[in-house]
Amino acid sequence: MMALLHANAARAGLSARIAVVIACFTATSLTAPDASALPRMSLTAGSPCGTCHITAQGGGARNEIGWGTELFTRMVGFEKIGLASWDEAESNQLLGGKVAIGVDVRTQLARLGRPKAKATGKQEAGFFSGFTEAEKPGLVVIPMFFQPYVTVTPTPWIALTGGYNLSTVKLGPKEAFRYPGQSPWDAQLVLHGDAKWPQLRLGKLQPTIGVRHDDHTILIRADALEPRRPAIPAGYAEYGGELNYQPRSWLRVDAGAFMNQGLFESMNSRPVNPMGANSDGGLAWLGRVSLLPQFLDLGINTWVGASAFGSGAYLLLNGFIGVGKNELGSLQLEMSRSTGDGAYETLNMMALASYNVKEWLIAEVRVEQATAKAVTKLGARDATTRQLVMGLQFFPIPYVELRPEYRLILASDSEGGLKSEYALGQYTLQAHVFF
Amino acid sequence: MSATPRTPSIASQVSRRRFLRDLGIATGCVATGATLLGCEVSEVKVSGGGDVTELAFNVTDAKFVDLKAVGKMVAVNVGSAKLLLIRTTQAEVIALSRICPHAACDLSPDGVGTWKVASSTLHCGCHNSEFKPDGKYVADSVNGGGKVGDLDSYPVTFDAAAGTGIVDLVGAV
Repeated sequence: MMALLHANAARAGLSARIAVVIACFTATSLTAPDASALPRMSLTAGSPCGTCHITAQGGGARNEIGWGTELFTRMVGFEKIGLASWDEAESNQLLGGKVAIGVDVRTQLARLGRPKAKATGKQEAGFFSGFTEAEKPGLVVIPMFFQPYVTVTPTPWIALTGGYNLSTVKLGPKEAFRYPGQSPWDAQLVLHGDAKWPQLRLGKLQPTIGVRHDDHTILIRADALEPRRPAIPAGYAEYGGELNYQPRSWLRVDAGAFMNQGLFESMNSRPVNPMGANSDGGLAWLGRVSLLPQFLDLGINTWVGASAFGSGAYLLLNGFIGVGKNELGSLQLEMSRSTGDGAYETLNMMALASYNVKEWLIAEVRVEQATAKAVTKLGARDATTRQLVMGLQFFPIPYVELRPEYRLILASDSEGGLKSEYALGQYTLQAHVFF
Repeated sequence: MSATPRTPSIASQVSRRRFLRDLGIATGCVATGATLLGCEVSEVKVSGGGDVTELAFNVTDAKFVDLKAVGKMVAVNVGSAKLLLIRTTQAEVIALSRICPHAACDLSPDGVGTWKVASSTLHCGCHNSEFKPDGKYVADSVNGGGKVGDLDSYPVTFDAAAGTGIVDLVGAV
């Protein structure tokens, strides 16, 4: 592996370490997996996701370069904390490279839920005029993912890859947690010939919708009717197939057809089902086009694209544009618009800026707004959620990311003449382990 | 012989620029963090519901017809309350607030709420929170454990024979 990394470095005229970081950042970006989707990495690296991941979509199992990149993205190496032998591990691959292993772990400490008015709360007590002082929701630790991966590569053009999210398994008397629509597992057969050929993925996989963040707190895949629960959750997967084709470095096309059980499960648990009540067992489809022009002399990478995803009466359109400068930072703008039965309409927007303070310390700010309208049994419903999030992505040691964030949420929801609003500002902490 | 002006190497310029940039960012982060330390706001506002003190219902009305069967639920907005009426037994209908205090998911039957007859608990499909008939959170039922608030519980007077009832919206517990 190190020989490969050094070869890449020489070609790019960069140090091996920088090359590894760039390659890895690329891999975990555009459509990364449950615990590690960080699209800004692609914009600050300028490489395709498949550089570090098994699939062209990105996310999920990492290849040897992706594994190496995680090893080198750190404030201090293992040797500084008395684990020098861990730095000597050479690969995540076994049996001569035919088997690769990995794991993603993600937990979050947060105040979930909406504030509740204090019995003695007084009007205009605090931050927002006219609001009533309220009790903060309790702090909870949420084990989002514990997902090991295995990839078997019997030949250079075939890979079998998959993972199982163990946090969805019931252990003991308590029910395990799983968002409606979230699949406990994914598995796919990846056929990939020469780079000029499309990659075909078959199995249970996530359609390549817009930009994949895999952060359940990002509103772009939520709707304001239930903003704390993604309509398309991290870990969403369907049975089906998808072609990912990048005929030029600046052009990528994706198309797929899927079953719709996961989507139906998610939509049918919402206040209205925009797919239509009888759409279970049908098909879902996806089309996506993206342009990825790079200005190498300036170290600038960009993307602009759109996707359409639908099933039954439900249609989800995503648009995205991004620009990044190598080792400096990125700016991403995204929108999503969906329509469906029940007079269902959503419009979500996000601006996300990142700044690379260090390779291992990234500052991020994002501003989001989600709006939704629908007609429920209780009448016309109109909801808006706005969110400001400021945080850091801190990689203290290899394979570990800590993500402290502050978020301010302003939400309003009107239904049948009753309007409820709340404001919640809180600190959260996410901890990730990637291997 | 005139001295040649010393110009910093590109490396040192880059290094200095980087240092100053990092210093600026670090200062900004510290200042922002300090400012935000006082920003754990938590406020609510409800409006437009009118001054309603009770809700009368009849299970023969189309709106409440689901309450004829034990285990069924009906969601209703009344006054400033988002209510869930549940027919827990032949003789009893209970009224609870409908928004889960954990992650604000809607517990209506069209949403993620389910009344579990066997355990007499209201289950939230978002994160598995469970609530007793009096609205009390079942300890640690939510995914990840931790503290979750209770649902508001409203007194209900129910005449099973007539199929009629009254929810007291003022006496929420």
